[in-house]
Amino acid sequence: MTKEKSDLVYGTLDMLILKALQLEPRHGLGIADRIHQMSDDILRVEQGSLYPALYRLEAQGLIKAEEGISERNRKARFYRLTAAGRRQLEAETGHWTRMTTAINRVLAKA
Amino acid sequence: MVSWRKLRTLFSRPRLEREMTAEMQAHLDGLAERHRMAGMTPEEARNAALRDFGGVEQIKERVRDERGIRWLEDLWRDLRFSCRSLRRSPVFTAAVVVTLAICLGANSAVFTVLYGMVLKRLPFHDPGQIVEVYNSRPISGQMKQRVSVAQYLDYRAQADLFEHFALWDGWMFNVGEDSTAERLIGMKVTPDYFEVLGAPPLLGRYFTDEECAPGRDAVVVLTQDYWEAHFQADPTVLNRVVRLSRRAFTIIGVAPRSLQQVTAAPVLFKPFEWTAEATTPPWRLAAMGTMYARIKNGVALGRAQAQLQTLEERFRDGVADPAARESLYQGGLRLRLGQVRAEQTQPIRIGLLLLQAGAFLVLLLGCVNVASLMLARANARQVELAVRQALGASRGALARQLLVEAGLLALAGGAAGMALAGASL
Repeated sequence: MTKEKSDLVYGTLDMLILKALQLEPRHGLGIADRIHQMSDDILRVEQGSLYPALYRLEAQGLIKAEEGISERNRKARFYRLTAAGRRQLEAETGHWTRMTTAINRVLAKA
Repeated sequence: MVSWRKLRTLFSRPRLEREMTAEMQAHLDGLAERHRMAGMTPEEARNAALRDFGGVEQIKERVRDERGIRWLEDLWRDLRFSCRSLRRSPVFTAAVVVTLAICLGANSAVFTVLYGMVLKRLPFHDPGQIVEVYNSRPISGQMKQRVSVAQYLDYRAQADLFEHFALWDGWMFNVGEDSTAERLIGMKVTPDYFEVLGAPPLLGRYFTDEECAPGRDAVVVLTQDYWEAHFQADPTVLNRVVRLSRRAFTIIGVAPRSLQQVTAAPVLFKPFEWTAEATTPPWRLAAMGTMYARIKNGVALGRAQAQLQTLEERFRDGVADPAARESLYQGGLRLRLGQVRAEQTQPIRIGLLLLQAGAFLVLLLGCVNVASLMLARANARQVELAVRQALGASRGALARQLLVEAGLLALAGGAAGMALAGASL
């Protein structure tokens, strides 16, 4: 997965992370698992590359970090979607859907 | 735009680094555990986890890029490196700083004097309109002579291109009558002296025309500095009587400090007194005082000067006795005006300007010296720069650090120069 530097282009990794956090807060490993699971095993994220994206989203105020206990009874850093994050997720989902529909239409024509 | 969050990360960097390391370690542990449960040995599990994760150091660098303000952190690092680097070559640093200090200090000192004594305008309203009026007899070689009371009264009454005229002279007097007596310098002024300059009294009032007669002139106006030094800025000083040169004078007012910038340090002012005889024609030629005047706004110096010349000629033509008329014009009398500031600084202006030019040349020389010193140093550092470039530093990063180093030297030189100038002034 390539890293998107500019925040004018919707980085798809950012969008996937926001989606993975939609239902409940998760830690880094949990987010990677969730993306893997939601994509029916197709998308395998290079685990480390999550972190620059996570910290970027945190700096933008779309997710919030908090301390918690993982399922293995260890201390871990959990990320939770903020209200701004939810709004951003909706916006990005809508944008993505519109883009892919248009591209599909172009590709479908002979 | 720099957000608050990013600013705060600058201050808690160690803690954030620790947290990030801990978080990534926890992630790796989780991955390793899964591999172990799938049957790998702990060693293999750890390696597999690292492969899944990706390069840890690279990831950390990317995270550091996302956080914090990169250029600020880089600047701070450059500052510390430059300090260390300069400390390791003390002779070079000392040479550059001393050269800059001398050049900058000399220029600052000379310019301060030049500005204070020559370039600075008088602290009054429209100082360009304040002029000194004087007699000039070019044919007999006397270029500048003072004027008479008769001329002062004449122009004051008739020269309508002027707002005010004033006459003044120095006045030496004694304070104290025993062995501790001091001889001080004051000024005799006509009441409109204060109006020519345009400075209302700090306390009390100025003189009136009636007080300019002998016997009625026993009043003084103190300067602010003298009032603060000898009367402790006491507001009840008005109407107190002091004995000066064996006469009793009443203090009627205090003049603001701005008046002390016009002429060299008078201590107080007293009325310029004249007798009725001084206004008679034979006394027209006497040099009794210096005349200052304020020209009306919008009137050019040349036009004002011509008006005074006309008035003087009109007076001459009105004198009955031809011999007297002749003597009035001896030496080709001309009335001249000059802006007060320019007239006062005439003697020292050329000297100070030359000095400033000299100091500037010294600055240029010093810059050339410093430049060659820095070139020599750059040559010696080629190996260091090559190594840093090989380690991955970009040309921009190298240039930035060199710039910071030069900036530090300039700052140090400038500070030392200011100290030098301050000490020498």
